[in-house]
Amino acid sequence: MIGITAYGAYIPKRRIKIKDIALAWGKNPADIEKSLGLEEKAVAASDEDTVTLAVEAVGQALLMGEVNVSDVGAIMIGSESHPYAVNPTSTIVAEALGFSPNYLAVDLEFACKAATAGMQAMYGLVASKKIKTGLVVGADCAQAKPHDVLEYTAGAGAGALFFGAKDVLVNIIDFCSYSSDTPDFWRREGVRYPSHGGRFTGEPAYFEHVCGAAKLLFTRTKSKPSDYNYCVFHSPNGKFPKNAAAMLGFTKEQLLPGFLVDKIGNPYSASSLLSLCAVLEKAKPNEKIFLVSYGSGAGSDAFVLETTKTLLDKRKRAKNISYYLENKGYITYVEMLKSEGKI
Amino acid sequence: MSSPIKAWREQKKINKNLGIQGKIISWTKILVPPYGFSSDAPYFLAIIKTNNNTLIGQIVDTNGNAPKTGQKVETVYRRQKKPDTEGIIYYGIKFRIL
Amino acid sequence: MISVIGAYTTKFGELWNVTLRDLINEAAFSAISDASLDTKEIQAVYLGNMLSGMLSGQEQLGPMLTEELGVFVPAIRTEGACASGGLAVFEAVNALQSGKFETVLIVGAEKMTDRPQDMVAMALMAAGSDAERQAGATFPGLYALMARSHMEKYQTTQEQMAAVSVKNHFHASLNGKAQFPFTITIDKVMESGAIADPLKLLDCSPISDGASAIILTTKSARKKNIQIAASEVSTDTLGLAQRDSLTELLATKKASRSAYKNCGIAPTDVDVAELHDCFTIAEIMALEDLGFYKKGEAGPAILRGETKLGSKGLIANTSGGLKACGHPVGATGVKQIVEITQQLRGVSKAKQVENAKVGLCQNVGGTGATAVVTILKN
Repeated sequence: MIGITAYGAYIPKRRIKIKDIALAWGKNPADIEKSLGLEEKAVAASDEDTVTLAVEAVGQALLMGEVNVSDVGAIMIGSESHPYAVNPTSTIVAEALGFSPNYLAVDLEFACKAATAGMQAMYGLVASKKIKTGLVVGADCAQAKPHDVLEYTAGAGAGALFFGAKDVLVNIIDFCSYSSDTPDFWRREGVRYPSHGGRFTGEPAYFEHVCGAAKLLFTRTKSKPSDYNYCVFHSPNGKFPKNAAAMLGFTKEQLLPGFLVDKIGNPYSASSLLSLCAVLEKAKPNEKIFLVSYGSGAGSDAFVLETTKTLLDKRKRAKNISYYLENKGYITYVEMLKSEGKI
Repeated sequence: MSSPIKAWREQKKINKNLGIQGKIISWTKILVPPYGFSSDAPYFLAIIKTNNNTLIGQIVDTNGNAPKTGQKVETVYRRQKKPDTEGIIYYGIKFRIL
Repeated sequence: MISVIGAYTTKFGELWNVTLRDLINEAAFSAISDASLDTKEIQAVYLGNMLSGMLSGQEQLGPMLTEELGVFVPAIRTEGACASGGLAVFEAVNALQSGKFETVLIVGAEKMTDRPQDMVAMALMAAGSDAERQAGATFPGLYALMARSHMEKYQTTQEQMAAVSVKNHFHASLNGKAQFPFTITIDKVMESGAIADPLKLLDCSPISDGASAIILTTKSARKKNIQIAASEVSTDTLGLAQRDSLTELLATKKASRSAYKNCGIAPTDVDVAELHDCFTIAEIMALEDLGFYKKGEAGPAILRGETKLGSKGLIANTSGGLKACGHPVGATGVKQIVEITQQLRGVSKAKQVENAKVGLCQNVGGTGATAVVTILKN
């Protein structure tokens, strides 16, 4: 079976409390925390970017999988904060990690779901036996306009997954996608900060596609929520994934192991991958995971995953999500603006 | 404008210094940075001894806490100086206290 | 025998009205006048400068000097960062010893104040290694790394380092050419803003404009002979991280050992010295590296008042050193020779060291990649 043979995560050390942002703008912190459902978020340092975050996450995945870098036949990096508009992130990351030149490098972009699209494409490359091992990375160093609601949630992080057919930790059982032209969140070329449709990002966008993909996958796999041990939903804030889980019939117990947004914010393309890493830290063998990503514009990629015995040993070899959740230090709003180059 | 060819040459060398450990031999806190580093300041600069080399570079993720001579560090991959608006981005090795 | 027959330094400081060419002109002609020489007697010129290209867009300073002089003789520009001036003297000495020339002019000059401070700091880092530049190092930062090491190994204190600055300011207050001709206190140094911990503003030499010039000759018909007894150079790794030790400048040790050996002079014979105090810790290390004090003992000695005018034993940096006289980098090495020449001639007035017979100049490039040691005697 084809699946994930190793995974790695990275969350920057710095955190800012939502209340410190709120106070700067004269808002009531409690209101913001309640309506967005989060307390703090991760902030990248001024010398970090999508490339450096990806290098950290892939480094951890390499440790876990004991992957020979010259066997990697493809690397796909999904982000909405690629450092260059033209110049691939994937080759910079591959070079840093010593990959041989014999690989396909692809940069992907689709708001927060670029990496999960890569997962589907990579599955195809491995299944067709064109490559032995492939690497998919979701990494983002999100930025938001000061005083915009996105400022409370835009986070940073990276998740890396190796795909192969041998020594698989997590089997890819099935997947599907659901897409449409729904402009809920966008950024024009040359413009620094994204724009969004406010409440339009909810029902016609996030929920339409997440539920659309989920229901399509339930049908295809002839399954229902209670067949799964865990569910992972892309988390733009602390409310949407909880609502989606409830709407589809999942319980809090299925959602919470992968629920990170209240502690790290929304790391965009890394969100679903980091939540998956959080689940894999705790999952037992032969447990089923239902994962649905969401990317504005819009689309959702849904996956049915199943853990194997191999997971238990391998996952001890790399830094896990708990490590990153504990290894944190708080910064002030001024320090955040400074490191983002806004002041 | 920074040279893309120089960046290309330097980046090929990074891999061998990534993921190794070392010890702080001496350190300082730079409060008055040179041109191109003003957005990073203040930052810690240190000389690090590894198994087969001695390197110089910044210490990251300190949260403002001063390092100590003798502390163990690992090498990490970060941006180097702030790139100019149109120029190539330089990446390189910095150090993180273990 | 190589004699110093002309010696002159311009004022050092923020000289907004003058160009590099003006400085070179003033130093050259004033030294020629001091030597009572006819310009046509100069057979070659040596010019020490580091930053003219980066800061002024001007290279080929040799012809700039010969053009000012109006005698188009051979002209060599030497560069060794802050040791550029010392290297110019070394080259001139070698040319005279070879017999190629009999009378030469050496000028050290630098114009640093036309550009913003952070650009100058970046330009000065050309004296370091590529790795240091990529890491965002500055010279205060690199010397701070050495200071911390020296403090941890020998218990040298920030007060002892501050005492170097206080002493040199006292000397500068007696020097009409100094950039900062006023006294300061240890408290003032300790309160000054941190530049690169543990070095503070008043531990660091300033950015300065200035030029100095000397004339050397092997023609014996010159009275009042102040001789160059030895001129030696040594080098070390460009980058500080590659050195064997962070608490000494091996290049200074090696150059001085050669110099002492070649002229049969011992450290205890030296009456007056000009040392390269680009940062206060540098003077402490220099006193140790040159054999004047044992390792770790120079700091306490300076705090006690040693090496200060009026005290017994070696007197260091009567010009005010780099810290208080100023440090136009290419000029410093030549200025040091001017200061010692005047001390040995007995014309240093308020800052005269009684009975000065043997003098030493130590001029360093970068963090110690180049060191020039020159010994003079009368």
